[in-house]
Amino acid sequence: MDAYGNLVWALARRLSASAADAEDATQEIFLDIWKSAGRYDSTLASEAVFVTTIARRRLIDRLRARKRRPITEEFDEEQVRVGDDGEAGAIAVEVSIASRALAQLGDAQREILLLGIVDGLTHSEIATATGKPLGTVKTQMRRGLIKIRELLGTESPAEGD
Amino acid sequence: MPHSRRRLDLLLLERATAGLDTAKAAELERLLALHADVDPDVYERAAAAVCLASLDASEPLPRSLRSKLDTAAASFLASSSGSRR
Repeated sequence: MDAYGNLVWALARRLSASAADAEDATQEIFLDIWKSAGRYDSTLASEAVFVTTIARRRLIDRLRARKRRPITEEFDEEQVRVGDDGEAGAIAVEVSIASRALAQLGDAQREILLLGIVDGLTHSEIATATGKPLGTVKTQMRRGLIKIRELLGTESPAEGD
Repeated sequence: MPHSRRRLDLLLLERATAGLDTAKAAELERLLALHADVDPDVYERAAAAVCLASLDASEPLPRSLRSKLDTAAASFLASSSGSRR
């Protein structure tokens, strides 16, 4: 929690409908992380990516279950910074790699990818927000994520033949 | 390229971005069983990296939430220890 508490909280806030929802999600995510800790493989990804993968999976499931869009709102609770300097260092490497990868995408691809992955919009919602056809959104999302995967140096399932 | 492998790729992409309904999740599990060489999390890790690059994680964890998590962690560890006896 010291290492990734802030990260999980930031993800939960981004993809939850309220402060209470984000708190519930954060607790569920940490339980998922503790249950999954034995499956972590450092040869596949950093701890930060492992944690974020688990968090996104839970948050997407919650969004689908509620069919609710994340809503930005003010958080008035007393907050204290939790975490040590090691957290910033551990996450920075992955951020650097992914930032470079994102910068290599076209503007349209990057926008669609961020709307879908970071803001949690569905393909239909992205189409509405950007004015692009739904088919274009799906294609750009797919191509963008494949590009990111390639730039991060992993193989595609479809390239296994 | 076999159709099933292509379909698997599309479902993995969809799971990494929008999630899957029950029917598609079951289809994904069947296809993963057919193609055991495929890394099931490859696109989810790519999506996670995008999140890490784009998210401001400087927002501190609320004190009250941290307390709840500490309690939950202790409970989880205790139950995990107990189940191994």
